[in-house]
Amino acid sequence: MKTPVFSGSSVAIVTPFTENGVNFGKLEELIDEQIAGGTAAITICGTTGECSTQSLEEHASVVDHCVKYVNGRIKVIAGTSSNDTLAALQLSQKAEKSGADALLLVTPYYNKTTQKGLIAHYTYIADRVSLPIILYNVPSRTGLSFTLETYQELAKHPNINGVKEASGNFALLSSTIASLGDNFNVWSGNDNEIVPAMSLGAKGVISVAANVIPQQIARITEYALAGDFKKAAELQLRYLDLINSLFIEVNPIPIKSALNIMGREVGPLRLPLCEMSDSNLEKLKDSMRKSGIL
Amino acid sequence: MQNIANISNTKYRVGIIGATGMVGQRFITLCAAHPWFEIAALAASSRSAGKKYGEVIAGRWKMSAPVPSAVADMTIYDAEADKEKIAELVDFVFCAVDMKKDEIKRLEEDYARLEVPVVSNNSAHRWTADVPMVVPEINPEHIEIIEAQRKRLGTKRGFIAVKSNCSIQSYVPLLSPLREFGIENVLVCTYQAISGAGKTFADWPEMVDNVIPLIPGEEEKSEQEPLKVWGEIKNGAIVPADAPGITTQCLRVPVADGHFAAVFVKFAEGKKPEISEILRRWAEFSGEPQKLGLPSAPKQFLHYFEEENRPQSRLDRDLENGMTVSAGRLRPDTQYDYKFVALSHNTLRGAAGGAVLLAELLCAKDYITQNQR
Repeated sequence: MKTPVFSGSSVAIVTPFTENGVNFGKLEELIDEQIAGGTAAITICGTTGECSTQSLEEHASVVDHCVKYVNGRIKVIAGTSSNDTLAALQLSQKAEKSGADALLLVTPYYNKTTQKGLIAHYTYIADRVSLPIILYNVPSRTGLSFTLETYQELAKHPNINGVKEASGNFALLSSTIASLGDNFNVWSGNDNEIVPAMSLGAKGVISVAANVIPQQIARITEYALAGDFKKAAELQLRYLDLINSLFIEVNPIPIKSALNIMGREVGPLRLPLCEMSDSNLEKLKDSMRKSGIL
Repeated sequence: MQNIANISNTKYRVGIIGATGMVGQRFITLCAAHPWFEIAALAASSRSAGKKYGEVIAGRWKMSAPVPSAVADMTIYDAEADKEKIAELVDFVFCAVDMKKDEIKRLEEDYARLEVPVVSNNSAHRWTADVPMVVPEINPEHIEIIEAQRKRLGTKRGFIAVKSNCSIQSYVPLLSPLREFGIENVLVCTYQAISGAGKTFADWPEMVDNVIPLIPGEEEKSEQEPLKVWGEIKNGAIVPADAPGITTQCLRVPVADGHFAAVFVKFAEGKKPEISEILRRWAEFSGEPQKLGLPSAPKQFLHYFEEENRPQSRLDRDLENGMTVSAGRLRPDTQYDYKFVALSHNTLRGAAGGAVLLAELLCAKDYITQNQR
């Protein structure tokens, strides 16, 4: 039995930037808004937090600030991914020292590896930290996917708590839950698949959309955890158009734009990410209006 | 004192009496993830006895985290009929039952006489003179009364220790470090969450958009229990403090978790501290749990918010896993000397969390030991 790091909704929170650094005051406001909205955990410095364009120092300082500010009110999951195992370990150990509750680590991207390499990569890190680790499977970004056999092997490690599944591969998701049960937790990594994933036993979602609709995403997971999939599905479908628009360009471009449109002043995107195209921006605004957040 | 570093080598086996109630569910959630404790037995009324916990609790589980799977498969014991059996399985029990006061008193004494330490969330024994009522940061020394209680009960290991009512845990911690200034009078209005009645909005829809002006028995507890917590041990009994005078009104408000208090306080003539002095006392107040590094102890017991619109229930009740008590809006008053607002998580600091912290203190101080296996 592996107690899930969290049940419900965890926001993959954006990192508010200024022209030359991090806007920590804004980050604190966003965190309070999430806690008030019923979010169960903050996932800090994930892809949505633009970890790819953060220096090691800045990355570690954002995790540290987040942990201190949340102060035990909800869980903090630190994204500590790198396609360099040693760099990922370094970030993970810093996050542990800061007091994060768990780590989120994507599979090595671009250089990629084999299934054997995945086991070695995660075992190397899991052996050297004492925090629970959430694996992250997102083949559309990384170019490789876990197999069931690899999940089965990694689930044996006491520090590997489960996986954020964003492969869209429900055959893999269902056979993983069927085979590993409570010894390996699964969370949806896709906002448009929360209800189907949870109907099969996923414990919740690590969500991009929760940045703009924290209460609604939390509510979907609450209904699903209580077994009321009819109400959960109603909400999932009501916000589907908004969710789709939040992925109309590569994440986190639309979500950061949406927050700025809503007046949250989360600042610019860092290159190579850029402003949305005009036509997509109009589509996003239209979806925001229809869903009642604009 | 036991070496705390060694405590976690073998876990203490815990029984939870009243496992199906809301506080019992909190105990299960806290113990399932606890570094020192493991759940060894669950007990409830005869209606649930003999059934699997997961089956009995289906539809009644109110925690946000799911039922731990190891617990779901456990068979529930009968809290009355299976006492001897439970006594063999556990090192101590948490007790949070919904029964008549006299029955609870007897039940808890039965367990104590079977040499089982009882850490209780119930109010039944709060006024038994040799039963300590402990907020671990405030009156840890009261656990020394256990020796006198053991003599009365004729036990070697068994005893009863209780935590105070949830309502007082929002204001008593903030008043405690100010007692040396001679607190004369305190007026408190509490705004209490519905989980204090074991309810959620789903099963208490009348509470939506509503305030109920009566919580039976709550005002008496809120006025009297602080005096026992601030009392002293004399001749094998805890003698309550005779001051300050406390008057309260306790209201049920439409909030899921977190008891609020609006507090007015008057000090003895000429002893009124400055606001900066009060803030300093709060910031520096720490107790035995912090010194011992107990697993559930918050690093900062009292957290003062400078922001005028804090603390807020939803935002701040879970500070340091719901074990920190927060305050705000400290300012002079026209009738009393000062007023402020305070917030404490009623089912964590105020109930199960406070009882778990008390159990940790009792383990660290060797009042609870590991039974022979």
